[in-house]
Amino acid sequence: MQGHPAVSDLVAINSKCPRCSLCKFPPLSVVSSQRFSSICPSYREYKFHSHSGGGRVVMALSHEAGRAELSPEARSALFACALCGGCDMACKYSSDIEVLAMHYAFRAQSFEKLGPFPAHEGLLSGFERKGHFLQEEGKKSDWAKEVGLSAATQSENLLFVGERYALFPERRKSIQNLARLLAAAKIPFRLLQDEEPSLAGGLLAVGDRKRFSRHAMEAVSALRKANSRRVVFADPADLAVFRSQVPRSVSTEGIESVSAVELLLRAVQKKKLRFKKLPAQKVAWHDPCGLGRLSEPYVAWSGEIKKVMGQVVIYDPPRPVNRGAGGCYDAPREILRKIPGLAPAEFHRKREYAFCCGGAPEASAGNDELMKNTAADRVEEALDVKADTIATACPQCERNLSAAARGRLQVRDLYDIMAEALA
Amino acid sequence: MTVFGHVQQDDRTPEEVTALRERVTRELIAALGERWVSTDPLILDTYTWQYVAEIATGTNYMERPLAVVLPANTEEVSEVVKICNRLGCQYKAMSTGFGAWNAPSRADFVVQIDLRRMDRIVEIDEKNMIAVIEPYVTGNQLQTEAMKRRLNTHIVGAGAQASVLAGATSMMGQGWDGVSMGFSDRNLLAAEWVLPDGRIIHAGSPEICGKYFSGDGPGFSLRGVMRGFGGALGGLGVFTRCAVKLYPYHGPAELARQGQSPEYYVEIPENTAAGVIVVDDWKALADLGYQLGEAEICDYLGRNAPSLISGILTADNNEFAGIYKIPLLHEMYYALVYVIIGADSADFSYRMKTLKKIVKGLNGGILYNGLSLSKFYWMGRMVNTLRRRIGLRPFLKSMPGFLKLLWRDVRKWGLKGLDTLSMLCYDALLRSGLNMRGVFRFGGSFWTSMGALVSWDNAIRGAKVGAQVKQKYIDKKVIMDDGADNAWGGLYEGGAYSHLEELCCYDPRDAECRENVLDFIFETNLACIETRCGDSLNAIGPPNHALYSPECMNYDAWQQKIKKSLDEKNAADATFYTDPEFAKNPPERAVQTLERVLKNRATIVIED
Repeated sequence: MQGHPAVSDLVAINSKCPRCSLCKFPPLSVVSSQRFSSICPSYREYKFHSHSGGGRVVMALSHEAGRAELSPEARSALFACALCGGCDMACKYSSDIEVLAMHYAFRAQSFEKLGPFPAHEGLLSGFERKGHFLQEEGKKSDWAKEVGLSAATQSENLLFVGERYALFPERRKSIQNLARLLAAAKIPFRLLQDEEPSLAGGLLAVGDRKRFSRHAMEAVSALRKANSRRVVFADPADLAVFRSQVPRSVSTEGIESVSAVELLLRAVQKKKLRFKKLPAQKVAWHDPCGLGRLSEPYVAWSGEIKKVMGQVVIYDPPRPVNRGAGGCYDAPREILRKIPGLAPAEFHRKREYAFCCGGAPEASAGNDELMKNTAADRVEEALDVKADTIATACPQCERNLSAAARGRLQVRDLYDIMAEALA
Repeated sequence: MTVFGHVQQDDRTPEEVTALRERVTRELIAALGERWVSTDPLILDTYTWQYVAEIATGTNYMERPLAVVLPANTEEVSEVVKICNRLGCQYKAMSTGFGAWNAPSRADFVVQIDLRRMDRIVEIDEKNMIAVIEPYVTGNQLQTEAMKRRLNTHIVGAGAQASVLAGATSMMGQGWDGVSMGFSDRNLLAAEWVLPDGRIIHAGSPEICGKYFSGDGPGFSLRGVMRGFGGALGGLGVFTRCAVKLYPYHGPAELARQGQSPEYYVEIPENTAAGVIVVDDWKALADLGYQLGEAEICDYLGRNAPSLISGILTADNNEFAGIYKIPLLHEMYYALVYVIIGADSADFSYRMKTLKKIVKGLNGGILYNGLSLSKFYWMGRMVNTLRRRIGLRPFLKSMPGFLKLLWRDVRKWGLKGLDTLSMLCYDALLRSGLNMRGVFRFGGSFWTSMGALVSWDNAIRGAKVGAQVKQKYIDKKVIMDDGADNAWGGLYEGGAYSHLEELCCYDPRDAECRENVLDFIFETNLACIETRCGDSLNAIGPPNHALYSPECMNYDAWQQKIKKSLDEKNAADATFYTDPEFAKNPPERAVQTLERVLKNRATIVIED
């Protein structure tokens, strides 16, 4: 499959959906609690089959077959989804059906034929004005100026801060702490400050592929001009877009991408960062979808679908399938284990089958109910495993989970925890 | 139009359909609230896309419902049913909803009741080993909570993601654990039942005391009426709560799993063995089944054909096509997969000794987990059993591929990689029920045939008959060439009875495939009757009743009487249960299929 596939490109593969419902649950042998046995925030919230991964696949297939129009109600069902990829991962344990790709393709088709979904109009006009989907105003360089940071002008590491770390007021401290950690580890880096491009992953969620591709091309061009060997992503959402979506629009060959979490682990392993003891607490790592299952790199495939042994469908050459395994799961856990005083706790749903935090407004069309209740479920899960603190490294996850925690436990950024523990 | 129901002339005008939908929807919204009712065509279509819909209708879709509703409790279900009775439309309920029988059979006439919101485990009574559940509790969920209390539940072959209640009240429900836990019908205790007209009754003990411990008293027993042998598949009202038996379990509450999708490694706990037992031929396999059943040493025991075993060993079809060429794997026909969970080391030791004694007596071999000299001895015996059957040359030809496969796993997991097949058996049998890799992945879907609940000997006989019919379709290249014998099944209640289904994997998107699969089903159903193999597992729906009922005390006449007396207005869509109009007015596709099959029958040789 090459580039951004259209619904019609996915019909053959996705018509194999047997409606088994495995897209609604984590892989069955890892379920450890009935209460927390959902993998799909949308199906958990809305409960109609149409709001599950498989249900949306069928909506796309039915629409493509000309059986029904995409009404406002059906469109709401299509967009009431965090695009967390849980369904895709759960399905692909035993199949190669492209569930998430179909979500994106159907959104794009909806955008192309019907224009923006009404709930996205405000977000899009904000994007038009500010170049990002956040409500926040301000400049991307404000956080650095606040601490008088003057990063190198040339370095093999380009720290890609992203809009949310730069502009969410409650996260400025976290990105400042990340800069502090990198400095402490003697990892030089450069910043593009206000020139940092937006990867604009939200445009794909909205369905505007054309504009996304333009942004992707501009972003890659800006990154190439920066002349750094490696791009270090602070925000996992950007990492995921850069690895899995941008290459569908423009080649990123030659640009190494790494998550800041992985880079920090290398520093910890080389003993460039040492930690003092923190107050004793049980910490559960919340795997952001962007750092985990969605960060697997896109690999283009073109070939033939053949049948052997009568009716066994094979791909010639073999088709690479992203199943969520290639995400970054061990690095944050290992870092937390190295900080004295912290005791690890694990969510029931973790690693590639982690439950989403509720996602970003542009993904779920500003659907507050979905975002709030999903985050609340995740917080309940943390309480169920007796965690005192949820640690993560994604501004959106932290915002959603903090609001849901209502003081019952702490929600902290990994960069903040590490900075506090810095000896 | 489905091949399972009679031709229904729909002479309603579009305006009349719209008027009916508006009337019904108005009342449904008043009863449940707007949030839980939808009439949007695209949303409704997600309920029409169903497993084997292509067999039933010739397309991927069943008929579109009038509306879909999600009631929150029994009273709301009853209200929906009463509305349908009052306004002259039908309804069809589904729990987790896997299969064409969950969907409407008549377009724009049936309210789909999705029981998704009724998902509570109401009670787990540890002392009496009973669970009271609602419709959307899956086998996996109930098992997860039961295991924390050292209890276990029967999981149906449709998979652990399927509803426990649906299997217990409305379907057959065979599974891997049958040797120790029976099947769904046998595990049903009491039930709460919204009758076809909307009245709520409690069958069994809750009628008298509110407790769900017995389906056969002290209240009245309705087991035979409400589900009979195969279940009414939603044709007799809605079951909103039931109790099922639980069983002792001696394993850990959670499986210890390493690795990442699609390659997981599950740690098999102590006092547990899992793997494959291989013998020489069908006769030895029959003896093996009876002896293991009688010995009552296995918690899970079933038969997997070679293509299924190779399927679960691989992550995708390309990999499968590579390893299935290894003669040692594609010739592993006479094999049972098993899991033994000892209560303690003494119990485990006794069970393993018994297993080895039985297998030794049959000159077979065993694959089990762990690192010990005896493991390699029994593994060697297994390989030797296969060599004996396939001959030295194919055996030697197998070695490079076989060793490569072993190296693949050892490289990944170290010496534990030698346990890969054991671990996959343990994981799949215990927790998954249905292994999608083994059936759906090959062509996209599968359907089943034969599979009556009969003695083990007769089940094996059925498998042989099924394979002979199937070869004809393999030769036409319209189904997967899995060597014809792809009989899956197991033994129940200590081997008192058993079943083997002849699976048929195909591409549901291919029109030629699906028509031929329908032929295959009709032909195997005919063969089942003619060769006295019992009533086929998929002898569901009127076309099959027409064949089977005269051979089985005209059971369909009784089903029609039950239906008529409980559902005067025919409000519950009973297409897959019973249909008095079918014989008078069968769909042309069913007639054509039967004619086609009758013209060109496979030759069946029985060695009795």
